[in-house]
Amino acid sequence: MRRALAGEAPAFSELVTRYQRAAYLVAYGVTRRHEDAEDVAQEAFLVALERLEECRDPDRFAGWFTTIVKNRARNLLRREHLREGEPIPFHAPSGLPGPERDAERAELRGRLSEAMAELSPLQREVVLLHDLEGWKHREIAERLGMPSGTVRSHLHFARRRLRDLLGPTQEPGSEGSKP
Amino acid sequence: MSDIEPRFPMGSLDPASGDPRYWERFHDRVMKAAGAELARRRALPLTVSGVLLSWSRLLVPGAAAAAVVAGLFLIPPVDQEEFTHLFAVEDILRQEATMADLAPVFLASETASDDMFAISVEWFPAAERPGVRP
Repeated sequence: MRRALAGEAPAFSELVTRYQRAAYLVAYGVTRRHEDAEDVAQEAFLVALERLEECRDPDRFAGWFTTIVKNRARNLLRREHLREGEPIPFHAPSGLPGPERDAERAELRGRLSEAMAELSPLQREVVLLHDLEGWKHREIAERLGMPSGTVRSHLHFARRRLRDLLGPTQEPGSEGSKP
Repeated sequence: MSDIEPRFPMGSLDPASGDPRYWERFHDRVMKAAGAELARRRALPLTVSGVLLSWSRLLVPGAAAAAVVAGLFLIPPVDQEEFTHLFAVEDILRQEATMADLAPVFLASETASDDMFAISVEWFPAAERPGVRP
């Protein structure tokens, strides 16, 4: 982070690589729209770079940056007055092999998106960061500023709600859910 | 509770699930957009205040710790009250001092210098010492 402060592109590039998925998922947890989450994540990196001096402790960069992402996502929602439950336009790029598999994936994505809309923003954030991004309970707790037990609880209820809504779900092309 | 639960399969929400180069392009877009700010930061002159600011987080706690240690060494071993008693010996000897009056002085001399008490008596004129006849 200190090297990024001095304008070293490789250092900032490393920060982007490390946190781009998390930024997208946190933004997605708030906006529930792919395009908005993408825009928010990208803007958040630029805002973070401009305000890097405000991050007092480099060890807490993740939490500080996550807060920027969430605030920008909420501001976007306020600006655009997005309605709850709005469908997510998500277009798979064309020209990829396996059109049937893409169709299956798109269908699952649509169902998942609808089910995610039933969760609270916090449950969405926790389940996305844990089950998709792979963050540990402790990491999520530190970065969201809550006890680890609360994270586990949100995760448990989010998963249960998703299973209630979706039933047994399997990733297209995968052998099942990972432990 | 969640340790024994399997992860919920939500890989399809990852934009890279159907586009393996998605994050690569995202990264490139961010870096391109950040180019101007990175260049501005590189162009910032290295000022004295900037250097001091960058080091202040390490220097300030270090200086504070050093000041505390130095302060511990500078604390005098005998407090001012005991010295006051010691320097009052001449006055006590001129007057009719009782043992009760002298007790604090002798107690103080245990932690201070016995020599000072002796010197103060030695330099006192013999004619004026209590109980000494000229």
